[in-house]
Parts: sequence; C-alpha cells; structure tokens
Amino acid sequence: MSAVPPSDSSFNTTQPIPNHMLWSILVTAFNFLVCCIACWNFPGLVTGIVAIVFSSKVNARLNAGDEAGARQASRNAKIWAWVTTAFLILGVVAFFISLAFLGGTEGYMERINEIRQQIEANR
Amino acid sequence: MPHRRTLLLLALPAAALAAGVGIWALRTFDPNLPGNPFPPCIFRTLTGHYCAGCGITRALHALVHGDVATALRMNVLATSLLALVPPVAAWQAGWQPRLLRPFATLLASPWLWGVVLFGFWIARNLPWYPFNLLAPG
Repeated sequence: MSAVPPSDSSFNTTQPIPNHMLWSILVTAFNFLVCCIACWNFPGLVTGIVAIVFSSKVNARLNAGDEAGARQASRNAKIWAWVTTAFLILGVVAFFISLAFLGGTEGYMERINEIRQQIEANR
Repeated sequence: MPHRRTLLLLALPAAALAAGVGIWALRTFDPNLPGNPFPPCIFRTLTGHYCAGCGITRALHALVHGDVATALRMNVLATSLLALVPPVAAWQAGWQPRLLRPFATLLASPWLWGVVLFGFWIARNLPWYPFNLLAPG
C-alpha cells in the first residue's frame, strides 16, 4: 500500500457500516405484537431474530477489526430485516384475506372454538 | 441500488393497502361495541389471559379518531412503538443527529426489548396496581 498515512479527508474515510439494529428490533417487536391477532406473520418472528443476530454481529466484528465480515453481516442484517418487514405487511394482508374466506369474524370464532374444544378434549 | 427500489415498490403498495383498509375499517366499525367485525385475540380467547398485543385494535381505533390517551391506555407498548416508527425510519435513511445517539444506542439493545416485551406480557396480567393499568379496557 502507499506510504502516505491515511488522511481524514472524505476520500479516504471508509463508509460507515450500518448495523440496522433499530430497524430489525422494531419490525420484530411489531411482528411479536401483531402475532396476537394475525398470526400469519409468525415466520417474521424467526426472520426478525435472525436479523437482530446479524445486526449485533456488525459492531462486534468491527471492534474485532474484521471490516469485511462486518460489511457482510450488515448486508445480511438488511436482507433479513426486509424479509421480516415483508412478513409483517403480508401477514396482516393475508389475515384479512383469510378472514374473508373463513366467513368473517363468526367463522373465525367458530374455528377458535373448535381449537379450544380440541384442547379441552386432550386434557 | 436497484434491489432496494424493487423491494420498496413491492412493500409500499402492500403497506399502503393494509393501512388504507385498516383505517377505513376502523372509521367504519367500533371495536368497543359488541358484534363488531374485528376478530378477537386468539391467545385471550383460548387462555383467558392478555397477550402483549391485546388492545391493539382498540388502540388503533382511538388513534384513528385522534384519541391518544385512550390508545395509550389500551396498549402502551404498541402505541409507543408506533410513535417510534417515523424516527427509526428516518434513522435508517441516514438522519442520525448526535443528540439522539445515546437514545438510539439504548434502543438498539435486543436484551432490553426481550425483557420489555415479555415483561409487558406478564405485567399486564397481574391484577394489582400499578400493573393493572397496563391491561386494556
């Protein structure tokens, strides 16, 4: 490499590596809460945790001096955060659609009552 | 990045559709009345306990009608998280003022959220003051 020490000009400074942690956490928390009503988005909980794990690796690797690894983790975190966001949105949409197919809230309640009876029968 | 544009083009209409249908439904029907078309929580129906998401429909109904106090009473956590969406989206887009940095560092802690989410879930089922304030209704 060059013998000139790196100056602090914008040309030489490397781009910051975003860890996407806030985004990952927020969509995962929403997936968690919305799962109460529209649990079609349950896979979003899993992918959200994957996103959070990758997000947490970004700064850890950066601190260990592994910049390439940090960039890789950042890219992965971003992908998984997007997937989680998609599950959140599509889960809600799919829930409305499934509600229409089940015959509205009444059909939905019938299904839930069936599940409850099954649980009680197995007790 | 073309990647990003495709994803945005896919995500935005879906989100807008969901939000539009949701706002229309919440302006048309009242989840506080019996016989409303909004489905109840599965967890609550099956176990009789509140889950962490219980009260979201009523909170959103209150928000759509401009009643922030009721929204907070129905589900403090969901309403607060909703308030966090615009700043976090801006943060993600690159708006990261130095002043908010300690706050962002605090929020970017998965363990904190794990404790908050599950703690909220348990706490709102406890029948005593002040925990009973967290229960919806």
